[in-house]
Amino acid sequence: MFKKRWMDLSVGSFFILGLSVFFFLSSITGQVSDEKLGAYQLRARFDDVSGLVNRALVRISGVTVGQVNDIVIVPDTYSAMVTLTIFDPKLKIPADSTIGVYTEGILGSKYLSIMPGFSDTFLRKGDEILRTNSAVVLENLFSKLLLFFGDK
Amino acid sequence: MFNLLRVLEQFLRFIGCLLLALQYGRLLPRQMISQLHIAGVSSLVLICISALFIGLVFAFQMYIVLEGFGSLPQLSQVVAFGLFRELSPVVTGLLVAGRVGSTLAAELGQMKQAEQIDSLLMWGINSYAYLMWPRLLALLIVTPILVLAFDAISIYAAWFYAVTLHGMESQIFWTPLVFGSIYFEVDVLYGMYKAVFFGGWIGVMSLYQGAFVERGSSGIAKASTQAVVLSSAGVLMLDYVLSQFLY
Repeated sequence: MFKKRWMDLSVGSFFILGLSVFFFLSSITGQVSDEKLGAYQLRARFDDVSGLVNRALVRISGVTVGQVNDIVIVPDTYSAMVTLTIFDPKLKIPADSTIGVYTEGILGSKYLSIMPGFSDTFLRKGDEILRTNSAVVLENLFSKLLLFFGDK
Repeated sequence: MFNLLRVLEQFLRFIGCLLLALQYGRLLPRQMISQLHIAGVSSLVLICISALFIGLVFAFQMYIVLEGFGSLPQLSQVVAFGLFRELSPVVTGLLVAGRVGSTLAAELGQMKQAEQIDSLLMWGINSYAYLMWPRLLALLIVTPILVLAFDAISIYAAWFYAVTLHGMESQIFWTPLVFGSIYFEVDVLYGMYKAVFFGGWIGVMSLYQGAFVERGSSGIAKASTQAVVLSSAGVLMLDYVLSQFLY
C-alpha cells in the first residue's frame, strides 16, 4: 500500500515538474509573436541592403537594441524597405537619427547601426527613419578603384 | 532474403494486432501509473545527470571558441540552439532506448517464454491491449517531458559554467535567449514533437522484439540487445528525417 502511494506521488510530481519546466522554458526563450514587452517597430528605406537578412541585429553604439523583421522591395522606387523591431519601449530614438548597413569585420554578417541625432522629437511606433546609409558593396568599390587606376 | 520477408511480415502483423487491439482498449489507471513510473520517473535521474554534463561540456567548448571571437554574450544562444533542437531529443531518445527499451524487451520476452501471454489469451484477454498499449502510451507521454527536463537542466548547466565558474554577468547570459534567435514555438516545441516520435519508435521496436522472442535464455538476451540496437539506430535516422520535415 505504501509502495503504491509512493509510486502515485512520484508519477504525479513528475508531471508537475514537466509542466513547470514547460513554463520555465517558455519564459526564458523568445516567442515568435514578439509583441511582448512593448517592443516597437520602425521602418527605413535603403538604396541597397545587400547581405542584410531577417533577424539581423540592430545596434546603437555597438549595443544590440533590436532586430530586422522584414525586408521588402518598394515597387515605385525599387528601394528596399526594412522593418526593424526595437526591443526596449523606453529606448527613444531621435527623429533625425541616421541608420546604416554595416559589416561585422571584413567578411562578417551585416547589421544595422543607428547613429542618434539631436532632435527633441522622437520616433514613434511605425515611423520611418529618413536618413539612411546603404551597404557598401565590395565589388562596387573595386570597380571604382579599377576605373580610377585605369584613367592614369 | 526469404528470412527478411518473413520478419517483415511478422512485424506488419504485430503492428496490425497493435492497432486492432485499440478496440478492446480500456485503459487501466493502475497499469498506466506503474508504466509511467518505470518509463519516466526512473529514467529521470539518468536524464538529469546526462543533461548536466552535456550542458557543461557544450558550454566549456563553446566558451573557448566564442572567447576567441569576442562574442561570449552569444554563448547561451549557441548552447540552446545546439541542445534544444538536436542534441537533447536525440540523447534523450538514446538513453530511453537503452534504459526503457531493453527493460520492455526483456520483460515481454520473459512473459512470452513463461507462457504468461498465452495464458492471458486463454483468459480471453487481448495481450496487446492489456500489456503493450500501456507501455507504448507511457513512452509516448514520458519522452517529451524528459526532453523538457533535459533542456532546462542543460541550459542551467551552461549558466553554471559561464556565470558561476567564469564570472559572466547573469543578465548577459539570459538576454540573448529572449531576444536572440531561440524561439520557444520552434526550438523547444519541435524538440518535443521529435521526442514523441522517438518514444513511439522505441516502444514499438522493443515490444516487437519482446513479443517475438526466441526460445531459451539466449533468446531474451538477443531480444533486449536487438531492441536497443534497433531503437538507437532508428532514433538517429528518424532525427534526420524529422529535422528535414520540421525546420
